[in-house]
Amino acid sequence: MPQELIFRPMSQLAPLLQKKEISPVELFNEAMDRIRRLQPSLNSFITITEEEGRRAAINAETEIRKGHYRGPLHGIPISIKDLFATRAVRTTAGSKVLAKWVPDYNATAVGRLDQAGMVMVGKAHMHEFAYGVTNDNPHYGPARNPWDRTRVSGGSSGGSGAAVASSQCTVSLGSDSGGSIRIPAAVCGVVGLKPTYARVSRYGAIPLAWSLDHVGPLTKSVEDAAIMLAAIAGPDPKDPSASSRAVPDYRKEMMGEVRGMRLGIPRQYFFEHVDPGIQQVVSAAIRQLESLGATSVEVDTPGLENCPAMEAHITLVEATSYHESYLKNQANDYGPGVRTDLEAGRYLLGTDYVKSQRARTLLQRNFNEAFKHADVIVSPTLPAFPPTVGDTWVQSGDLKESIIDAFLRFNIPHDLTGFPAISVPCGFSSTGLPIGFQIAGKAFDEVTVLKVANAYEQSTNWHLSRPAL
Amino acid sequence: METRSSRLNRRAWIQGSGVGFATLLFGSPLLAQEPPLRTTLRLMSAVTGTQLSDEWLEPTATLVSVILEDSKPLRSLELGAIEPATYFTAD
Repeated sequence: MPQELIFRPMSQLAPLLQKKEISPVELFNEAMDRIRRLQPSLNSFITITEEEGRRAAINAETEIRKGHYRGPLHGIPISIKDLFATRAVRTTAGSKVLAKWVPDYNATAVGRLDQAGMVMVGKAHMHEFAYGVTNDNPHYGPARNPWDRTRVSGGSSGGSGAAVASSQCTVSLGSDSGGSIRIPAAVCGVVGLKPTYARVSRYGAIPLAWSLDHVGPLTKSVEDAAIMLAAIAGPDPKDPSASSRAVPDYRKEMMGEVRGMRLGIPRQYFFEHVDPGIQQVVSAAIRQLESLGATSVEVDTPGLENCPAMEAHITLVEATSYHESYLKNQANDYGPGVRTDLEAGRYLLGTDYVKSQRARTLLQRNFNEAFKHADVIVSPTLPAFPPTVGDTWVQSGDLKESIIDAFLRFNIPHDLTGFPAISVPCGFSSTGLPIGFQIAGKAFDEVTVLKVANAYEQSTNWHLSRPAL
Repeated sequence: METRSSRLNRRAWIQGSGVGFATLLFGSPLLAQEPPLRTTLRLMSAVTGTQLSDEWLEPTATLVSVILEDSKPLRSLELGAIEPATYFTAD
């Protein structure tokens, strides 16, 4: 049978699985064939879980055959970022420090996907301890971009983005503290959703920075992101910060028109120092939404110029605090980049950390003010294209900057506010590299974010493009 | 073309080549700032409880100085009675 099922989004596969027209084992075999063929060149996985996956696929097949269909994730091949604890499966966080760690428990989000009937095909590659944006990993090699294997896949959920884009799995679970879901989604040409902070339990996700860490999906379509979010969101006694708000039926509620909705355009900051090719494609995406009846309004979001410094103080201090005992006992097991970030975290002032958290409150207020005039705020996800592996500088229009400065720039504000944001594919560069369109919303208003993203996606074909592999 | 290399991008050195790094640092105000910062970091062992080895002293001092440089506008920000969002809740 030709390999075609694995290219489809979950929303198309689920009804076929439910009606027993296709088998979870058949789907799993297609995913494994892709993984076997592509892992040597793309390196999207740290651990491939063929045995566990086959067992889950057979279980799913048996259950569905007996009429026990669990829902749209039942029998779907999924990769899990290696940041999430997986029972009886090695969890490295992309580091030598945890190279031999086999948890005896599941992260809450993993447990929920398991309950929903997922078939885990592997632990996706990631930047060491999620502490970077390239996924150029000193311990496990770089995860490469399916659209151009000489380039980085973005990070820190780079393996997740590459695995979904190259159809080695249908969906993936990632995490985002400074853009780590949306960055790889943008550079790999898939959908990446960072939900509101605490919408999804962080229990069992190895922290980068507790107050910035978000858990969310990378998928082939907006509808799949809605399905994934519904499965993993909700309160969790193991994570006291997890919100107790009711979880909407995202998939149902996101359907509908965007006519009359207001697109906030923050010209300052979010549209400055952007590659002209990206600027052009994102402007076209805004016009596309306008053609569907949405209206654009310019919005002001002051205080953004402090975001990089706020991110630095919060991330470095919280990360160093978490890693204190590993630093004491296994310091030489860290790669040089992460080791230096962790060492530097010891020398930043508590007053700067608290000031950053206070400025964060102000930022939330400023964004809430902007949301009085707009339903969503749109921007490019990234100002520049991903560089080749090993290169750390990018050209963001008129600005040459480090990849970390460039890739965090439009992403970190939404981690600092904790408000939801999604990246959807919106076109390609002249050299065939994908471009991401970012749509952000009010706290816990994922429905509106998904609605705008879905309306855009359904009126274009960008999400249907596949890398030639 | 505008570049920020004159003050060295935060964490840019991490994956950069030694040559690129030296080039970027040349002429930077950080050059003047770093030797005293290295000394300060050494002296801070009493505060941090750890002794930073020579191997890590220079890159750490570089990164800290970049962050401090980036933080000047933040430090001058007047926040009045605004409290920290140490534990974000949107509920």
